[in-house]
Amino acid sequence: MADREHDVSTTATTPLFEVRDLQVHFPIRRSGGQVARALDGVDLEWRRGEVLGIVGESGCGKSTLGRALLGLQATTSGEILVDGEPLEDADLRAVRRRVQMVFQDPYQSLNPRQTVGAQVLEPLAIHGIGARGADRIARGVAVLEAAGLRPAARFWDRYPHELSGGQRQRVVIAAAMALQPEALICDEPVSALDVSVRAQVLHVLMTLKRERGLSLIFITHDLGLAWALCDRIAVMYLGRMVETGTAEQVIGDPRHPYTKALLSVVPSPFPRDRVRREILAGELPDASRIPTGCRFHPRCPAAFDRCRSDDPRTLAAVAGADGHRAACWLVDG
Amino acid sequence: MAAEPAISAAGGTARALAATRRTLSLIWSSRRGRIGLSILVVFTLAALLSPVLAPEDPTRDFGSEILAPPSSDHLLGTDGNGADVLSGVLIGARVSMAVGFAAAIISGVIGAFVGVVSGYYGGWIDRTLTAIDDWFLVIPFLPFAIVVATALGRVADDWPGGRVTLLIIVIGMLSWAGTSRLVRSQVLSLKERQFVERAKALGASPGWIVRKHILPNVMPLVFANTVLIVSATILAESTLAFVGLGDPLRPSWGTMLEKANDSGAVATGAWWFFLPPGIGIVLVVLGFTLVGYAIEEIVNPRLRERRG
Ligand SMILES: Nc1ncnc2c1ncn2[C@@H]1O[C@H](COP(=O)(O)OP(=O)(O)OP(=O)(O)O)[C@@H](O)[C@H]1O
Ligand SMILES: [Mg+2]
Repeated sequence: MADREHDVSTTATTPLFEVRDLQVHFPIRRSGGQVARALDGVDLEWRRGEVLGIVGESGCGKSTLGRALLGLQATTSGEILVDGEPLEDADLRAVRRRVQMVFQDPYQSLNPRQTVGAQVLEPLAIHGIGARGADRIARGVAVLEAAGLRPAARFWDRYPHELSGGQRQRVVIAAAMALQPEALICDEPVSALDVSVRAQVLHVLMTLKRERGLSLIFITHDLGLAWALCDRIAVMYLGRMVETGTAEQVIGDPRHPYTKALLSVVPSPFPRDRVRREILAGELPDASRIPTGCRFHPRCPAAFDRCRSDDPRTLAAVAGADGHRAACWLVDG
Repeated sequence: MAAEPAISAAGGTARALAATRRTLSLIWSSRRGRIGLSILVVFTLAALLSPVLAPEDPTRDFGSEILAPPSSDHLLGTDGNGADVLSGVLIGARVSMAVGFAAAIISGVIGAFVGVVSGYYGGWIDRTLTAIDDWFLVIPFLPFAIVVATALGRVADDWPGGRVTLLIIVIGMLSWAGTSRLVRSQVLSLKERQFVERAKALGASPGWIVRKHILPNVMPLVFANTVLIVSATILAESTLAFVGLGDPLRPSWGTMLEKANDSGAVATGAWWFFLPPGIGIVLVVLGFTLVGYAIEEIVNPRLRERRG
C-alpha cells in the first residue's frame, strides 16, 4: 500500500515528540474564574537521539511541559504528537514504557516503604518483563550497577531514608532504565542535589545516553549546564518558547533579550562576553498575569512600542542560521 | 568483579518480623506505651488461657451459696446464681476482648477500603461514599445498635458464635466512619505525592498504585486507629451486654455487670460481683488507648517525615 511506504519514509524524520500550540491552564482558587496559564502556546520538536535542553526560570512551566508529554498532566488545548500520532489516541502504557521520566526531587520520588530492590523490580512487574524471581533480580542488579550503585547487593534492602540524595536519584534512574526506554525526560535531575554529587549523576545520565542511544530532554534553569549537555536548546519564558536553536546558536549568538539576560547572570562559557552584564530586572513572572503584547516586555531592556501591543506569536527565523528562531520583534526573518 | 550479591526474593518475612520488633520496641520506649502494653499482655494471656485458668464454668456451675464474699473457695466470691466470679471474669475477658478485636478489625477493613476508594478515585464515587460516611457518623450509636441487635437477636441464636457474632457485626458496621474519614484525607495527600506520579509514569494502573503505593502507606495509620477503636468497641460491647443484648451462653464483662445490677449486688454491697468486671473494662480500655496513642505517635506522618 502507498500508505505504508509513506509511513516508513516519515518515521525516519518524524520527531519523537512534537508539541503544537500547547496550553495548560490551572484554575486559581477563590479568584472568580481566573487561571494560571502554566503553558501558553508551546511549540516544540524533540527529535530522535537528540539531547534537547529546556531552559527557563522557576515557574515558567518546564515541569508542566514534561508531565504533559507523558500524559501525566491534562492539557487545555493544543496538540502533542508521539511519532506523529496524537498522544490522546496513543496507548499511554506503551508510551510510558518507551519514554521514562526522572523527577525533580529525589526526596519525594521514591515510595518511602519500598526498598531499593523493590523500586527497580516494580517497573519490570508492571510491564511483565522477564520471569519473576531470579531473572528480574538479575535485571534489577544490572540497572542499579549501571546507575552507579555498586555492588547492588549493598543497596538492595535499603529504604530511601537510608540513602543520600544522589543515591536516590540513581535509584530513580535505574528504575527508569529497567524498562530499556528509548527516551528519558530529566526534570532538573540534579538541582536538588549537593553540588559535589551533581557531576557524578550527570555523568551517569550522559553515559547511559551514549551507550543506549537515548533521546533526552534535559530540563534545567542553568544555561551553562544546557550548553554543556545539549544538542539543541529551547528557552522558555512564562509558558512559551522564546528562542530555539542548536546549543551553539542559542548560547553563542543569543537573539532574544531574555536569553541574553539569562546568559548575563550565569557565568558565561564565553569569557569575552563577561563584559556585557545585563541584569534581569523587573517583576518576577506570574502565570496568572501574563503581560499583553510581548510577555517579556516589562523586563526587556530593548522593548519598544510594538512590544507593548503585539504578541510575537510565532518564532521568527534568524537569517542565515538554519533552525535558529526567536520570538522577538527585533529578529526579522 | 564484585562478589555476587546475596539477593533473594524471600527477604520479605524477615523484614516484616524486623519491622514488628522495631514497632514493639518503639511502643515500649514510651512510658504510656509500656504501661498499656503490660496491661494488654496480662489481659490477653488471661483471656487466652481462661479455659485452663478458670476454676469453674460460670455458665453451668451454680452449686455454691449465692453472693458469697471472697473466700479461699472462691477468691472473688460468688454471683447471684452462686457461680464463681473469678471464673466469670476470666471467661468474660475472653468474650469482651474477642468482640472488641473482631469488631475493630471489621471497622478497620471497611474504613480502609471506603477511605482509599473514596480518596483515590474521587468524583461521584467519593461523593456517594462520603454521603454514606456522613450518615454513619451522625446516627446515634446506641439507639441504632440496640434496635438492630434486638431485631436480629433471635435469628443470631442459630449463628456460629450466637449473639456474640451479631454484636461483632453490629459494632463493627457502626464504627468505621471515623477511620474512613481519616484514611480518605491521608489518601488525598498521598496521591499528590511525587512517587505516585512516578509510578504512573512507569505505566502503573490505578489498581496497582492503590495496592503498591497507597495501601502500604496508609496501613500504619489504619493500624494505630484500629488499636484505638478496640477500646471503643469493647465499651460498646459492654454497654450493649449491660442492657441485655449479650449472649447468655457467652457472658462478657458487660453481661456480668447486667447480672450484678439485676441481682441487686450494688444495693447489697456485694462489691466482689460488680467491681472485677468493671475494673477489667476500665483497664483494658485504658491499655488499648495508651498503646493506640503510642503507635499513633510512631506512625504519625508528620513526625516521621521530619525524622526520615
Ligand atoms: N497543580 C497546579 N495547580 C495550580 N498551578 C500550578 C500547578 N502546577 C503548576 N502550577 C503553576 O504553573 C506554573 C508552572 O509551574 P511548573 O512547575 O511547570 O514550573 P517549573 O518551570 O517547573 O518551575 P521550577 O523550576 O520551580 O520547577 C507555575 O506558575 C505554577 O505555580
Ligand atoms: Mg519544575
